[in-house]
Amino acid sequence: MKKSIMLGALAVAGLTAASASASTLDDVKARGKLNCGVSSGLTGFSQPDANGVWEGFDVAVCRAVAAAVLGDSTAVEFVPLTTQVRFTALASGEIDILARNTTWTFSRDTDLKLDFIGVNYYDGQGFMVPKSLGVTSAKDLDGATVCIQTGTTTELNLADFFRANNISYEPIPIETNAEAQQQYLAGACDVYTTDASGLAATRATFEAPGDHVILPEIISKEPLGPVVRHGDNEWGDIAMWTLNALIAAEELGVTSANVEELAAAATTNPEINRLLGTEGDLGAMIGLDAQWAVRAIAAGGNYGELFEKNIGVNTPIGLARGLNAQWTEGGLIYAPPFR
Amino acid sequence: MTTLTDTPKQGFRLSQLIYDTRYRSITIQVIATVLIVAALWWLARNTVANLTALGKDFTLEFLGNRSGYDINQRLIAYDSNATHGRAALVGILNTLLVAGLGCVLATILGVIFGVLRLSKNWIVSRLAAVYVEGFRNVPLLLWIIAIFAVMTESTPSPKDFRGENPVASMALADNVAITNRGAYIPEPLFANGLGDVEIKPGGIFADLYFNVSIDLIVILLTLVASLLVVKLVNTRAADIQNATGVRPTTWWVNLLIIVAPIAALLWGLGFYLGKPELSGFNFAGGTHLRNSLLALWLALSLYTGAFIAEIVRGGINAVSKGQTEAAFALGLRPNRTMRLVILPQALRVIIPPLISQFLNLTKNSSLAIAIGYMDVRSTLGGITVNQTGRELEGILLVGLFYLLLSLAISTGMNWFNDRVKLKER
Amino acid sequence: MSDNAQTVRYVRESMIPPSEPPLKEQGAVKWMRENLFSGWKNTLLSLVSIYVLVKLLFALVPWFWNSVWTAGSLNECRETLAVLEGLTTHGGACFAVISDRWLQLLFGFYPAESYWRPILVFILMFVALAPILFSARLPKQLLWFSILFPFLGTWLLWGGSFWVPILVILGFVVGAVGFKIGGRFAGAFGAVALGIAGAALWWMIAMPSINGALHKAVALSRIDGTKAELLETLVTNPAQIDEIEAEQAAVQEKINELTAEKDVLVVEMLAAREAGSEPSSDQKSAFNAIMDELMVERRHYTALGFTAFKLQQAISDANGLLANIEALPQWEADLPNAIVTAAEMEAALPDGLHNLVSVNQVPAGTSPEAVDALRAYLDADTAVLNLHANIETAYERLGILGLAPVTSRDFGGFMLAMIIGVAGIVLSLPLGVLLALARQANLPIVKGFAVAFIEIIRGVPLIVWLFTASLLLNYFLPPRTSFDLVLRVVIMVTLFAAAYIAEVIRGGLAALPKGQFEAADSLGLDYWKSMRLIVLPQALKISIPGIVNTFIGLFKDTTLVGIIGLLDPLNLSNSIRAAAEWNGVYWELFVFIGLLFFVSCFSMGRYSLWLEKKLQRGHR
Repeated sequence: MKKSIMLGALAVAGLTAASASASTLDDVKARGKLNCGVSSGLTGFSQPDANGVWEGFDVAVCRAVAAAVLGDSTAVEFVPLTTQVRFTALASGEIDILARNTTWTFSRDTDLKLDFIGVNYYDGQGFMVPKSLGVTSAKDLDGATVCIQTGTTTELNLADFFRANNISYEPIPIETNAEAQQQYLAGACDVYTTDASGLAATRATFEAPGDHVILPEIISKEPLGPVVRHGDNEWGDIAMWTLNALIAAEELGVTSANVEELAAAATTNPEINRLLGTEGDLGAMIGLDAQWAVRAIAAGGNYGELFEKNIGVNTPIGLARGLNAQWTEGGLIYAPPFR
Repeated sequence: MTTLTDTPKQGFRLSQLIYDTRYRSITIQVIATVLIVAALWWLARNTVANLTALGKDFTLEFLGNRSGYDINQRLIAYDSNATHGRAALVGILNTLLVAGLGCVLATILGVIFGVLRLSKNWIVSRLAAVYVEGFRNVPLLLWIIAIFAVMTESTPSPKDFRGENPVASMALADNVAITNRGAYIPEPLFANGLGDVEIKPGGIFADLYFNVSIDLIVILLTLVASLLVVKLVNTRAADIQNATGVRPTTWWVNLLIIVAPIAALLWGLGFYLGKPELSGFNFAGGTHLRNSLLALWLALSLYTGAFIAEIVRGGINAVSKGQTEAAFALGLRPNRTMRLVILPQALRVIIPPLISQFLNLTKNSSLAIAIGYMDVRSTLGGITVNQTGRELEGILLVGLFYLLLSLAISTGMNWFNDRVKLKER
Repeated sequence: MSDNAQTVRYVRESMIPPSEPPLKEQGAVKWMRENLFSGWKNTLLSLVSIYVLVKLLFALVPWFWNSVWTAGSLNECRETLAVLEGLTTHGGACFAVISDRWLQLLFGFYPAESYWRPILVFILMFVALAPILFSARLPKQLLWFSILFPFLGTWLLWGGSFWVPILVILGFVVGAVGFKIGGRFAGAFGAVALGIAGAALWWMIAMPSINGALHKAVALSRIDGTKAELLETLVTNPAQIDEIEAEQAAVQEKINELTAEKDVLVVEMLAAREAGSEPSSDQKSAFNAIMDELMVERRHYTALGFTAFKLQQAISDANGLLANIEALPQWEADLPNAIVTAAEMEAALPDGLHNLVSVNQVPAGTSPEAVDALRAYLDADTAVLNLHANIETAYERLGILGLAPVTSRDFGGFMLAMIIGVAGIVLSLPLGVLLALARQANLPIVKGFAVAFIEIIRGVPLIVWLFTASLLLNYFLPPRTSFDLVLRVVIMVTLFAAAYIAEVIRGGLAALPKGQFEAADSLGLDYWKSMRLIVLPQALKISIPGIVNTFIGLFKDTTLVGIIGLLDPLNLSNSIRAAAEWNGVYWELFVFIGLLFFVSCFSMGRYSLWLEKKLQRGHR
């Protein structure tokens, strides 16, 4: 008991930020804020605007979770994290959920004691080269100098790809996208490799985007998804089904514009009714109220809306849906049934 | 003896531990030791508890696993199939390389600009002051990034060397290519070389394997032998001088002794320079000094050089003006005065702070990651820690390496300082 | 002599006016001959220098001269350069990014309505420093303000109830009283022990309870008013937000119109350029006018967005507080039961499982029931902890009487660099003095520890220590505690700076003449008195330039905290570049950051030089 009292005293003195407790949901509710780990700057996925308000595709997932749990999409405390400290921050309880374009891999899910709750963006590592180089395939890159934004899986994928194809290369590891961009544009490297979404975002800001091509090869699978701590399944379920609710909403045609109307009374589609809480009581099964999904969808829109608003073809980043289209349209985005 | 007689008869009392100056120091030290050991034990206990709570353990086994990533600049054989331990070793050597090069260049720059700042030439001294203040007052990280970017922006890329009318051309009779990927310089090669000898330790040092070129060993041995002979010749000359008062001319003998065997050896080994040539995307052949190395080297040297310049200026100013005047009175010219009178005396003041600048430079080389130079912080403390999730072990090892390196440098430099110190009588 | 003078018939009564020196020996010519072209070597050096200078200026000046300050994005910068000057991006700087984001670079995400707080702290810092830095000219009483400043500054920056800094200061008073009492009854050891114990007890036990009680009292006294206020916020704010959004839509409309107008103009002007003629000055001024108007509208839009954001935040806070008010009675009712349950569970635990914090720690061979019991106990214990924390936090939020609290996550930019630098130096001074004294002491073991600490800290790069703070400190702390990252960094930076300060002060101690120590001894002063009254005041005074230099170094090194994720100016520049409109901006941000660092470090360096000279004179 002494321990508790001392920790309580420290908490009052403002020293402890968090104690990773058994129930993240209770913590979040008591705190009234969701602590969300994001990248300190990744175009389209998370970036602060001039007022210091965070925006982006990853940010939107956190806002949806906050809306579902707390009923307020602005009740989120965004914690910018580097690649190196992100998992430690999650393990220590500094953040409740990590939405920082993190690749779902076996060892992270098991050895690092993380739980991936789904995939919000299917990415893959790609290559960008100047058109003038006349390269049409990554296999033509024998002896090329490759600018690589150091992450965690990019170096490994690159090494594996070149080794598998038995061609040589010279890596130039770069810490930030801004520097990699500068090096690539100055011609210090022939190729720039990072996640394809990042390549598209980068190319969009060039003075002459048309002078550069993104090669057809995608050399890795990078399923990016939000992560929670291993062991708190209740919280994991909430995060996972909030993401699924956004995906299902798009499939069912529920948007931020019509969600209120659809949730007002039961519709003819029973799945919509279950999702929006007008039929059954799915919310109670994950420890929330019946309106949770309505709030999550109303916060920023369904999956498709979020995509179009943050990274879609009409934004400066201009990403096509591709793999991230609904399964009904040939993509991989697929929510398990709400039943 | 006196203390024995002074001791009161009733013997030792506990309060003496506090009030008696003879015992008090022991009491304080015991208390301090207990407190510090307790603190360390507390930290260790917390660590163990936290590690088990997270289901982790403390082990260095990860150093033996396959690393899976490539490193561009490697002084020893390495590829992505090698171990994390090997990657750490590559990083260590890279750190040592840039730190060593940096210390040399920083000293040169520091001495030059320190002297220039004292120059009577107005514009030169002003420019030196701008250099010193500019570099000292802006964070090193910013300089590293800026210099790296300037180097890539201001040099041609390899594709500019291509084509009918290339925009850029190679320097020094087509021997050196300066590109924004670094400088390509000729490398020494041997047509009938003797090959390499492989050194392969076993056990936990299995990662320490490396190849040594026999050619290099033979050349070094020859050089050492020649120098020994030269020393012999000089001793004999001194003996003759002592005996007869006339010193025989030895310089051409010495020159011959040094040059002839090496030349013969190089000819025998079939020495030639391998020139860099355009092929594919890049230059092939020659030695590639990467931009990251050059930029880091330059940035560290310029930054530390600015501090050293101030130290040199302070050292020169510390030499009293009378010394200069005395030297002038003897008829020495200004630059000889500087070289023979001022600098040797200033050196006494300069060396101790210089040591700490060398230490700073070495530690600052850990910023290499900002421009992708793969030093030990980027390999072991960066990618390896990221891949394996072994942050406790990785960071401790990196810290330990820097600590040992710093201690080694300061020990070595202090020894040097003791040797050159003015022996006061 | 005298008779000789009489023989002179004619003595000139006035001097011949000095003739003009030859042209070579006067004015600029002479200066140049002496300072630039004396001798061929000097001439060569001068010419080389001038060449370098001219080259540099030619490379840099146009870039600055053609810079664009009014634009909403990098692409608009490019457009402006293209139509006005016919240049590409490399021809001119895009400082529009600075005019858009300079406040962020200075303050990070600190709430804009509270900018006055860090600014006030910054000004007060100089007031607090003045009696130390310019000791001769100011009254001694000002030193009291210097002592109070750290508490005042911390409170201003982080906010919170006004009594918190007072309670913290009271801890020192309690410590001092303990020191006095202990000194009377148990000598020096008793004094130190009682002083530390008193202060620690105050801070750990008394202060939190008093603080909690005060917050609770305030919270309860105004709970109904608060509730009404919050409910009103929930009603009024959404309406206001709707209004603002309508206004924003209107502004957006205007922006769209202006953009369209601008685009037409750009096409015209580019066509003119294409045809080889400069666009007319009318066109140029029209373009500039549109851009200016556009910027005004955009600023208006951003400001509206900010107001809406604040109103939204108020709603979100109100919701949280109302939920807290609702939950409080339940929490308070649950707490005693939870404590009892947890205690019972702990008592019922099998031997050997009592001090564990995780089920991972159980020794092999423990029965599954025992593991389950431990798990249940741990959950219960955590529940107690959380209840405690929930209640305390709720009352703290409801009963706050003072400044709105700001979390350190919102700190960034130069403010963060300043805070880390200043806090590091201020906190490290006492530690550094102790370390320096320990290193000088006649106690081999204590000296050994001091040397080991100093050498270990100085032998390892700061970046490794920062990684330790961000990745490893959580391992070293008791399980289930974690500090806020800024605090962890400040702790680490303090330890780091202490080692350097210790060396500076050791230099100061060594520079004191031995006679001072001997004089103190001969007066019969004990060690601490001689240090406090004779040695340290003098040693610290000569150490000030060294301390300022250490501060400059530390201030520059704060750029490294970006590597562990804090938003220092450099890392913030990466965040800014992540915004789609500024992606691709490179040099402009670096130039701005470098310039700010240069100005502050350079002026501090000048001060330290001035002080050094003054001290040298004082010593002679």
